[in-house]
Amino acid sequence: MLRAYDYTEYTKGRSEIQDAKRFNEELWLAKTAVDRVLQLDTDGPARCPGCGSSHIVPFFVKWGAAYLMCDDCASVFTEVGDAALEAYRQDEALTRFRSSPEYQGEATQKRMQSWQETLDWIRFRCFRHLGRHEDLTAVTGGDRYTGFTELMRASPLCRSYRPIWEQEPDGTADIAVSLDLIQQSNCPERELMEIGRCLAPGGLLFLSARLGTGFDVLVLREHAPIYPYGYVSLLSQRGLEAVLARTGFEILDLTTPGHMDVGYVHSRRALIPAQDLFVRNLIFNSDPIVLGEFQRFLQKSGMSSYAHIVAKKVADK
Amino acid sequence: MKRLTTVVIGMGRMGKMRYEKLKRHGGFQITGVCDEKPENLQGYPEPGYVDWEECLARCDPEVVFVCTVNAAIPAVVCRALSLGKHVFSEKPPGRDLADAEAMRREGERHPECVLKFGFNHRYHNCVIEAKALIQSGLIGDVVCARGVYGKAGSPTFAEEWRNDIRLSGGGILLDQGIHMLDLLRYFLGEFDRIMGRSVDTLVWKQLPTEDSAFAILKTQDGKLASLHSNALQWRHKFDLDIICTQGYIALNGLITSTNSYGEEKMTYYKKDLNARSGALGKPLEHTMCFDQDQSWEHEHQEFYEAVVSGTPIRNGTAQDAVRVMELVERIYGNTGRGPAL
Repeated sequence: MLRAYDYTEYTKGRSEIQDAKRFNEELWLAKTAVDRVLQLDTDGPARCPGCGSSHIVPFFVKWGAAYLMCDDCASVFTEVGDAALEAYRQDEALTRFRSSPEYQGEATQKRMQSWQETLDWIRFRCFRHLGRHEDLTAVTGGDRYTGFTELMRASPLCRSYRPIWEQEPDGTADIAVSLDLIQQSNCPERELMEIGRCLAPGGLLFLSARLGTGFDVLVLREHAPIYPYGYVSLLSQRGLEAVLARTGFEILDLTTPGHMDVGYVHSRRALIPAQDLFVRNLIFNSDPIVLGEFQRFLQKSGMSSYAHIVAKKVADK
Repeated sequence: MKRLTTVVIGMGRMGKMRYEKLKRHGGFQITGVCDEKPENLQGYPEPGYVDWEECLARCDPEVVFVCTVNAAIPAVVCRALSLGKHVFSEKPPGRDLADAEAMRREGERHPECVLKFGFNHRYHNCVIEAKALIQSGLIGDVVCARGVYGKAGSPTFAEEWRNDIRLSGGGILLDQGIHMLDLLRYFLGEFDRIMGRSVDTLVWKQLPTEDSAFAILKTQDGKLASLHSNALQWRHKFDLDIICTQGYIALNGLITSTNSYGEEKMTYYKKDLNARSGALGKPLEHTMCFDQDQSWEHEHQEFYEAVVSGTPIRNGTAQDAVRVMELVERIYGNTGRGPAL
């Protein structure tokens, strides 16, 4: 496995990926949906969704949902059963909001540059590991943004780009894309098995995921920009490695290119726990250059809360 | 895994290192080691020889690793090939172009034998990634490059055999700069013109060999490269900038056994004159940083596969050796510091 850090240096307004008013509206709809489904079912996994350990400790509670931390691999997750999660996903108001032209249009406008970078990343790594980056059969575990789907379909990278439930037959896709999906699942193993089913042996999985061991999550806890049940399984690097190995993938590249941890903590600095003296001193008293250097350190050290993984399908499971 | 009977000729620093890596590979069964200095053979369980011809005759190996001083390389390589052995030779390929050509000719006389030279830098992670990025076309075509490869020197630098021109054939350019020349060829193609050069002994005045070599090279299709190979950097330094029509790559540092060349990194960015990804003049930049050196393993594996499976040598061919020695010789020209002396 190539352990590399992908240090990305941004110099302007990169964190403005969503209008604050729209973000708050989405948050309110999500909370309403959570309030409703919390009554339904809270029977979730008794074990860590990453390494499978049963050594679990409480971490924090948000909107009535308890987040737990695995004592072995440090993955963070909230217990939620399949029925409740499905009800949350099908919530009519939230679904309607996210599929609205305004929501999708804003995403296309504000995220196109980062989507283009994601596409470049996929093309570069396809060439590196497959020796080609055009005319590939590609599947996706599901895209939240139609703009990204259109970008992929228009790219020379893809001969076809279909959701996994439309891919026939199994075991034929050259690449599979799973961007920010497994964090929404209460069983990442099941999601990865499903997406792996579509891949040909030697095919590549491009996975991005929010990590539970990221700086902003560990510092801000319930005040971090994560919430039930948009963020269910926040695996650690070790947790991700374990679940990928169990589902028949060999990790080729693992980077933590997230660039927003420090920005998140800085914008919520009043909520940093009083006993975190070092972090408070860092965030309150450092100039932007020092904070930028600290973000770089997080990326390089695998402590950013966002992971990019390229993995090869090595076996049918 | 098929095990190839193997001898290592030359058990100095590189021979010892190759020995350890070959043991770890598992496909090479070392049956003898050889060095003219008996003290270099102590501690090895295999039979040791001070005479390389006796080593070849007694061990009759399938594979010969040649890690001797430059002056001895051609004789050992050619003899081993004439005996039908597969040969892996350390760089540089002899002291001069004539040596390299002699080895290529001997190799051509024995097409059943694999002949590979140790241009190991092509297998470093940063180089592999840069090559893939360029070949992918994502940052356009290479137009020029700047390479700096510098050594710190040492208290005993002047006494090293590498600065004995009878044994080495040249100074820092031939010893270390040859790696950078090989990489410049690898990324830009064949150079047919030396646009400028200066080969000097700027600080280590007592040496017959150069401690600094500057060169500007040009390919037939107009790609330009500059090289500074030196032993007066006063630290170890490896930097290679590659400028392309749609972007840029910088390789900085190398992971080596001494960990003295700094963190091995590849930084790249795409051209962004409209400042979509960052401020104008400061586009979004990616840096990949590597924490492992698998170059020796990759290099030995390519050689092993060529011997066992007949796959062609991709890097470090006899042709590579001759071409890079042509460049070395042309950079030396009549300066009196290299093999043209």
